[in-house]
Amino acid sequence: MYGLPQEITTLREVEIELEEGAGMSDVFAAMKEKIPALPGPVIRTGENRLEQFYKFNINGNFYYDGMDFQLHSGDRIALLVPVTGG
Amino acid sequence: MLYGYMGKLLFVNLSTGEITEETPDDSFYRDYIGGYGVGARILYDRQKGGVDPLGPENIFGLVTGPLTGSPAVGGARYQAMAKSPLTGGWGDANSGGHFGPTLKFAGYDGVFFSGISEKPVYLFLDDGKAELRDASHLWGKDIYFTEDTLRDEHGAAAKVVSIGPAGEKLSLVAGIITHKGDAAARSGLGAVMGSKKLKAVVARGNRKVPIADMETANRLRKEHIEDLKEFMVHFHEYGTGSHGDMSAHSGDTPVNNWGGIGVIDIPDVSGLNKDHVIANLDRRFGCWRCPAACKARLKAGTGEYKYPAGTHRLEYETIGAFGANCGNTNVESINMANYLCNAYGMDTISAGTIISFAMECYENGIITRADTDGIELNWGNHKALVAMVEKMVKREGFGDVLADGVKLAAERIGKGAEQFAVHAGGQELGMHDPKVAGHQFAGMPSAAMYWMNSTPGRHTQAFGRPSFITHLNNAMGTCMIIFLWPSARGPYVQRMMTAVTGLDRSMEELLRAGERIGCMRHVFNLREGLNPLEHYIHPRVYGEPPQEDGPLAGVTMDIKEEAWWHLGALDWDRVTTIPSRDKLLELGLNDIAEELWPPEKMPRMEPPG
Repeated sequence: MYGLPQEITTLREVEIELEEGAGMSDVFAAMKEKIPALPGPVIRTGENRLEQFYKFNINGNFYYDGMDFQLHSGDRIALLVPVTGG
Repeated sequence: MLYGYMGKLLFVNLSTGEITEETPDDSFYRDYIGGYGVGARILYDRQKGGVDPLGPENIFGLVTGPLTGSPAVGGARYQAMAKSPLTGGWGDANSGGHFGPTLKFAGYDGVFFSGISEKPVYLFLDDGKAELRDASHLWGKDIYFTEDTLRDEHGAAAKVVSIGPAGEKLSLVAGIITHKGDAAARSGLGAVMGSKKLKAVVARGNRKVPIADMETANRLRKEHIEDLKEFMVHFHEYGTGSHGDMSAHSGDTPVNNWGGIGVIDIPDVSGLNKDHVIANLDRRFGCWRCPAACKARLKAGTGEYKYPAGTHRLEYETIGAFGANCGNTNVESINMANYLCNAYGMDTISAGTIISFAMECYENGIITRADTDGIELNWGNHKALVAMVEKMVKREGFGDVLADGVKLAAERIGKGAEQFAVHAGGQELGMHDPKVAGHQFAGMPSAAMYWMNSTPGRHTQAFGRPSFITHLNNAMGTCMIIFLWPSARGPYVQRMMTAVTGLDRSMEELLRAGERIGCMRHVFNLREGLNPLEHYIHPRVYGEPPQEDGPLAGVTMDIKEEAWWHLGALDWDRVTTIPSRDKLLELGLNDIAEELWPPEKMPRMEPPG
């Protein structure tokens, strides 16, 4: 986790177990359980959806709210906020 | 009559001392709004292509917009413009403070300068009167001395924009400063003022900006302030400098001259935390009538760095440029570098990027202590950073090599230094890595924006259709952050423009004006022989090769594809970037259409057979 997600969770990395082919909602379910600070500011409360502006970087490709993916062994997944002002 | 305008533009020939007033037609203001919209049309019409940016023929303008000095929240800005000596093409920059509104209170929507004065002068605009005055006593002096002296001479109500020694010495990254730290710093326009021996412009006056429907304008202001309340609390507390630490790790701020990875190269960024940024704060203040008051002054530095009381609190861009991009997390050193740039009149974005460039050259043995006057320019060496900034703003020693931006510095240094010269079209880039936004066509920053903008390297103007609103904002004279983001987009721009000007235009019509303005800046560049597709952009900016770790690992942006889509949406040719004849006619730029599409250039269908 980078930037604001790290500030919120105070975690840089977290290990979660996922099945081969897991999608965005599987990642959310596992992350919510492991990191209670995420629902609300990062993951929409009561939903398996990212808050506006947050996104995943998986192997160099960005995935926003409303998109989905399938994870495979060895994939690198990062959660980040796209941009801040100034 | 159009409301919102003072109705007068001033033209000053510095070679002859002649000062003339003009009263543009309503249609001129309607079509080009103000700011660099008015500026682009004036410069296109009144100067030839190919002029020396530091010569007498380059026209330099300071122009307000219809919402400057009006009840619009954040209506406090002016735009500066000229052909840029840094990029060789269209140049503009803007700033808040009190100068923009006061220029209108003095009776003028804008003032344009041509020629070169024999001796240093300043222009004094006093309630409808204009006079060139001797500035010999100010030449060579810094911004602080200049502003204090002119305030003593003309009273506290007089507002000043001026250049420091960096502009006088024609540093191509010199800016224009007001209030000892609000900077119209991009595009090297400080050097244009310096080349004209124009030290300052002073405005004073009590004229009222005519407002078509003051009651509605005041009501909209009240509503807008109510909408902004939550946002303003944080913004007032920290300004734009609240996320230097987070951005250094999120991939937002470039690290170590755009080549580093925050979490690896500077794992501890706590020194850039917002509370360090406000640790030495004296008092907060704002631009003219701005309820957010996002600026602040510091107390005198008492530690290692002795910046004076009144030094401005850091803005994000300055934190990024002298911070993570130099591998530096020492906020006090950034305060000192900021003070030096503000006092001597230099762009902090460019200055920080130049230091990071020099650091990378030093780390790679391209330059050594023998070149740098003994200064050890290692990553994160904040003492060296401040020492070199001081040399640069004064053009002393190795600072003289660096003082014109990374492109020229690399040429002067040679030995492969150009591989570390991170710029777009000659200008150092804003401190937002576009890779973090990916292919965000509707947003910013994007790599194509840095690449294709008429002032390449800018992070606030967007490119393609998203630029229409930013051009409109800059022409209206309003603040991007407080007026434009995001609540203003729908309800306030259109309604406030109608209430202030009395012209009931749809948002679509206003955006078309933004498009027209973007088009004028572009055709100015076409006349200079510039095709943005041929601009250089350092490959690190778009991720070639991609970073191997951190938040942006593996990310490479296809800027050509991005530009291709944008050019199509603009109806500009995807090779020459010339706007189509239909587009120019649609925008009412019939004279430009005739110039760019003379009959012999019009596509013809061959007769059959």
